[in-house]
Amino acid sequence: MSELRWHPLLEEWVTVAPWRQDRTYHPPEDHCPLCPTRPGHPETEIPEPDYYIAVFENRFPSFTGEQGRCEVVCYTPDHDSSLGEQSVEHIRDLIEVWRDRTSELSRLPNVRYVYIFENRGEEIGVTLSHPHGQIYAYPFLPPVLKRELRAEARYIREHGRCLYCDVLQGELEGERTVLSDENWIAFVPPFARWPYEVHLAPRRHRGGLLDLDRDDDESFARILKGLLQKYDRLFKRPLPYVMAMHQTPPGRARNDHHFHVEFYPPNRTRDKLKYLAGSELGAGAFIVDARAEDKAAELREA
Amino acid sequence: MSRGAAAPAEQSAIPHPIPSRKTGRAKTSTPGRLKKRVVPKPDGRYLIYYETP
Repeated sequence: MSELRWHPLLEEWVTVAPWRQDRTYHPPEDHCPLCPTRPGHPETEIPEPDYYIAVFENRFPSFTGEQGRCEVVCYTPDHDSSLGEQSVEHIRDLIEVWRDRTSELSRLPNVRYVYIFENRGEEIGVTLSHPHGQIYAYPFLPPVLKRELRAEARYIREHGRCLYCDVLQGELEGERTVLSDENWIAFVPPFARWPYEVHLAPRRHRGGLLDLDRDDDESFARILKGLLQKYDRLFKRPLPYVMAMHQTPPGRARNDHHFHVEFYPPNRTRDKLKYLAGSELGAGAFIVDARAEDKAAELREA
Repeated sequence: MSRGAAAPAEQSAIPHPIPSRKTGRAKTSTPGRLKKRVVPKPDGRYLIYYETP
């Protein structure tokens, strides 16, 4: 099991998992552990010759046993595909998988937060190029979510309204909208910390995947696919990103959190990356050399 | 789990419950259409296949 060490200055947990040093690192394509097992070839993580969507426990977990879980979500058996290349129907089914995993992992006794995410691209540090995402079921509330939930709780106490609902109200003019429909919106928030950061959110107040209805699912799948296609058209190359789902924590009685998905592509141009350096890492203060309104316009046109 | 000095005793305490709001949650989430098949791995981990009906 990992060792959790408390950082008293930042008041947050640091997870120490030394065995992850040995995790699979850029294997050749014919040894991809996330591909289905081909007849006559060594067995991968998925022994069957084909699959639709598959989930398994990470072989090199940060949390396991009584601490929590780390899962790998294989979106497709097609090694050279991507999330954005899947059909809307397939993405809708993937939403169902994410919801099922949220429901099941939330019931584990020590799990305090279920975090669904995807790291895409070598620039992000991805070691397996097969299209996949991950789920961490943490034994603590991660610091970003803790801050977000605290801000939402304070806002609703002071104003009687959901903070994120009011953020969405600020997007009605559409200057920062990338794409939208009657149920969901994708926009570059005015407070974006990355040039091409985008938030995807349901227009109606929903706490997480467990609260979405059929219409929400359909729109979520369409807007998600649309955004990812725009990302890849932007520089005419697969755009690396981190996708981060911010759901309400398991068992939270209050209904003050607004579900949304955040995307952080590291690129500031086609060939230049934004690095987290002195101000961001050492002081926690992001400096962004771009206006959200301009970047949203670029993405709209992509 | 090593908590160390000054670790929080309880991280999720919610001292001020807020009444639910009229704009709240959807009544039901989408019923699933996928079939789920759980297969144990030899090393004790699990693998789940989600399949179309």
